[in-house]
Amino acid sequence: MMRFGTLLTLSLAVAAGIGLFYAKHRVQALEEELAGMQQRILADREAIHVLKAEWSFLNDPDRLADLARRHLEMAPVAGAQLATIDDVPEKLPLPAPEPLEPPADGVTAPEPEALPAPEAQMVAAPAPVVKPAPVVTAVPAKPPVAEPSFDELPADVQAVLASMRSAQ
Amino acid sequence: MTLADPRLPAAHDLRAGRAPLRQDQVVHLDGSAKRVLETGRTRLLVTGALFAIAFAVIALRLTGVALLQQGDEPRIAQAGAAPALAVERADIVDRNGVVLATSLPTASLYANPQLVLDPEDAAARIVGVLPALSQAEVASKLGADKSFVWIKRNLTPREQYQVNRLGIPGVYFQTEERRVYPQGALTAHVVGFTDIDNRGLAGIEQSFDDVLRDSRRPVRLSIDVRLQHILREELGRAIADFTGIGGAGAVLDVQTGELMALVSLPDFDPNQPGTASEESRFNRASLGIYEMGSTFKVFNTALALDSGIVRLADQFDATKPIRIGGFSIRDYHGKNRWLSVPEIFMYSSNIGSAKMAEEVGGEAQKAFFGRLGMLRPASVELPEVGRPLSPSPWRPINTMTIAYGHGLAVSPLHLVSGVAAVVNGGIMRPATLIAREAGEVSEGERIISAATSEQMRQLLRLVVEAGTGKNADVPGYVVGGKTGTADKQSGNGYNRNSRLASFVAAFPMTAPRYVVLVMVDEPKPNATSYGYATGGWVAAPAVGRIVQRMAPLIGMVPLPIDTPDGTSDLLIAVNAMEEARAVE
Repeated sequence: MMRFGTLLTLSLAVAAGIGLFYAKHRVQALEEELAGMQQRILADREAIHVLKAEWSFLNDPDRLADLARRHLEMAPVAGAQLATIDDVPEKLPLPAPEPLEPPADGVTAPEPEALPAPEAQMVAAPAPVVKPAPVVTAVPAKPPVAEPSFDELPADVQAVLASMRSAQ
Repeated sequence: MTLADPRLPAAHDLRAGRAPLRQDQVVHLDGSAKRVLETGRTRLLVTGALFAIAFAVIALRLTGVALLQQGDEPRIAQAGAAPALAVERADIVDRNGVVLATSLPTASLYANPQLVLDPEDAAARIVGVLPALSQAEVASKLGADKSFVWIKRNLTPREQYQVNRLGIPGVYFQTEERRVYPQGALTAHVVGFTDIDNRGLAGIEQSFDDVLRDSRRPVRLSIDVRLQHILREELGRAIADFTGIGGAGAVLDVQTGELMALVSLPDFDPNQPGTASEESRFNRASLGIYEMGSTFKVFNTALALDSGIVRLADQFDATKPIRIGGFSIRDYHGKNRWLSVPEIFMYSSNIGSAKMAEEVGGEAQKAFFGRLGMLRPASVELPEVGRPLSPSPWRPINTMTIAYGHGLAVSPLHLVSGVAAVVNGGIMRPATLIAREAGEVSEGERIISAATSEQMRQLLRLVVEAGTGKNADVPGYVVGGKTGTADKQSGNGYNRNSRLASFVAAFPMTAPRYVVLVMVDEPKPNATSYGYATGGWVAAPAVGRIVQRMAPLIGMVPLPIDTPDGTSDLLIAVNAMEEARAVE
């Protein structure tokens, strides 16, 4: 009995010793790794510090102006190019409608500029109720600078317009 | 006495353990021997029990510590944070974080002459890779009877490599920091520079020396390098166009007192302050003290209107020069008739201004300039601030000359802070070079009423719309300002041909946000200016160009000109008055 106890204790002690050795070894390895990493972090921080100085140096406005003059076909922003969101028309300008076939009852096709097309079309052909898209029904608040062509409109708007034309 | 003592046969008995006892071996102890043995046993028992308890406690504790989780114990081991970069001196950055001054590690070469074997040969080899050094000097340094001599500070990495490759014994490198100014001359006068041991010698480097040493956090200035660049470029252009000897400029936020740009030309490269001339190191914007000339009429008019003694519609006789104490005060753009207050301002009449000041009186004038901070050095965070030159005693003639900007010399910084206070609703805030957060803006001190400030804005706009400052107009940005052309003092009198041309403006005049000053020292007329070298010709166009370039940059949308917000609303009745006179 006594001998078994001694053996058990001994083997436990040896196992603990080996376990301790491994744990210590691993901790040591991790600590070395940590020290290495911290060294690298420090080196990186140093590099970042130097790079920041270089970034500032390369961003010298004189140099940038010179580079922009030589390589970009751009000019500094002028005041006239700025606008607030309030200046942007809320509704999309109306596209120039394509010539419509004259309706059977003799009502002539509306002048493209005179009236918004969808309303005029609804007068001409009231039968199929087309849900008017808000984008096309409203008169633009301000006259557009250049009329965008039909192709430049968003796909869904084009679809609505196409369906109205086919409904004629 | 031990239990193994041969005199105590019982000890054998104890050691023998469970060996069967034979009757003849049993020894009976009596008397003192028995008592001693009993005591020994008892002590042994107690000690054993104590040790057992102690071991049990240790074992329990060990189990607890090693196997059981403690409440405050992290589940994963934590390593200390990586070491921060040790910098001797913190950075200086602009309001957007652009680095204006930083410290970079460099290597400096030093030697221990005691360990140098052959000074002549070593010197020859060192000079071979560092040709900037003198061989005789290096040789004498290496031969000196010392144990430490600097050979060269702040080597480039390439130089360091080359010297290292020579492998000379007794020659070593010391890691040092070198102050670097990546933006070069752009902010030279504001940021300043340091000596080779990184002690601040000028500018923010000097005034914030302790802060920069003690703190790792960068000092954030109110300067915006983009605006600084625009101001410097346009000021330089105005100086070059009119062959001036120098100039100063500033852009100030009227609400916070932050200086967005501050330029003094000529300037220098702070990376090599030693090579800069005394002239280029002089900060004209804060240290230079000048008689500002007509730009002072802004303050004179504000004082007169705010005092209530003079009203906008009042007229003053400007038909002939004023003669006082051997002086005569005359007008440059003489109209030789009675002028209203707006006319005096827009035509920059010295006679009218002097008369307005006379109405108000010297006491009130002195007190007003005191409140504007023009009788003490500017409160900006620079060591280079000039002390204004004010007359003592303040005589009536001084009152009259100060009305149009002669007799009281102040720095350009004083001028911009004062104009900001006049246009921002009447609140004087000290100018600052340190970026302010929204909550950090000082209360300020009221110097004129909001109503007077409104009138002054109209008058300043009038100068640009119809007066001497037309060249500064920028469509949509409603610039308002005042020209100034001061003769410089030389000896006892004034020199008509050496002048100071300036223009101080604020925009947009509907709700001013920035004050812009351009001042050119000793401009000469050129072919395009019809023989003029006045503020309206030299400085006003530069201010116009600055506004034109900076306003879109800071995202300021131009005001639609024809709306009620626009300029027409600002104009005051002077036009009607002129027309009425024309009809007569």
